[in-house]
Amino acid sequence: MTRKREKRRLLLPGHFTEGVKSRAEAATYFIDLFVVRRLNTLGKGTDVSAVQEIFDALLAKGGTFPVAAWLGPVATTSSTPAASTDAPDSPNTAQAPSDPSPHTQEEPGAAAILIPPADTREPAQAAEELLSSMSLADAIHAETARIYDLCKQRDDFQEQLDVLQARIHAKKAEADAADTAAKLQEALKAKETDIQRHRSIRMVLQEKEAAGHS
Amino acid sequence: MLSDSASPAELRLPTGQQVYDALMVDIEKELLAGNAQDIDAAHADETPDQRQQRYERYLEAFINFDKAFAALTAQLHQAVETCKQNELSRDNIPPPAREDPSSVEHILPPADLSA
Repeated sequence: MTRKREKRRLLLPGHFTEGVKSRAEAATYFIDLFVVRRLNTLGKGTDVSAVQEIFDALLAKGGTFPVAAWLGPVATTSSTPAASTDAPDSPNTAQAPSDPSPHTQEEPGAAAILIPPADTREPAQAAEELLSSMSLADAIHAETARIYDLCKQRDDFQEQLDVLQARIHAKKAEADAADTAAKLQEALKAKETDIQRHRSIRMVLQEKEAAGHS
Repeated sequence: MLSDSASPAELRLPTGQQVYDALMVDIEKELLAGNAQDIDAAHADETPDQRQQRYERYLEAFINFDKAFAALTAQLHQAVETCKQNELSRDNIPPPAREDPSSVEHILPPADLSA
């Protein structure tokens, strides 16, 4: 058994609950910031049919979204539940999400930009919490992945801002463009702070790794 | 489906949980959002080994979910990028100039944490 497998034995049920929650939150965040904001930045006349098709396909009853194709052969390893989710003790949500009643975004202005609250944990504390559920190597890898994602997100913000400012300059922007630009600046700054924090966490982890190898 | 002239304000948006469930339903039904709180209740009689196997399965499911979500986000990014190109060219606005168009850190993309 590998060291990683041994570490995984330490995982507790709460990790899975948190895993579900954090992934649902990430989806919310992505939809708002990286789809809605970018489209609104372009203007209300933007043709969004391609984006809508993706959402519609994802939520279509019976499931027509190519999850299995994306995952390849590994999809079959976990596609069959070991126990019935129809059991009386288990909330029955085991069917495809039908009729999701997707909502319409009524006020797509600057106020809709989500800026998550800052994580105030000390880097050392955050590093310890990571190490409670994974090996040191995995934690460094995970933080590197996080930094990479955050950098990409930061660049997306920057791109939105660039486009919006180009539209403002060309006098093609919506009336609330200045507010949206200000909010994007704020979100960009928050992302930069987050990147720096995760770099600090990774540094703590790398110092531990260096100490372990000296 | 929206018409070709639909605006962002008319997007029929799913919630984050709906997106999560829509992807996870094909991967691991026990990890659907509505099941998460009582995830162990339906397995009260399992042995420690069975529980361990189940947790390993959940870990694999999360890894697969993350891959599926990454594919979804890539698809959405591409769709939005197409919207951007169409919109800017329609208004005769030149693409925004970027001093550093690829400012993502020059580190290896960590594609798969399960390796």
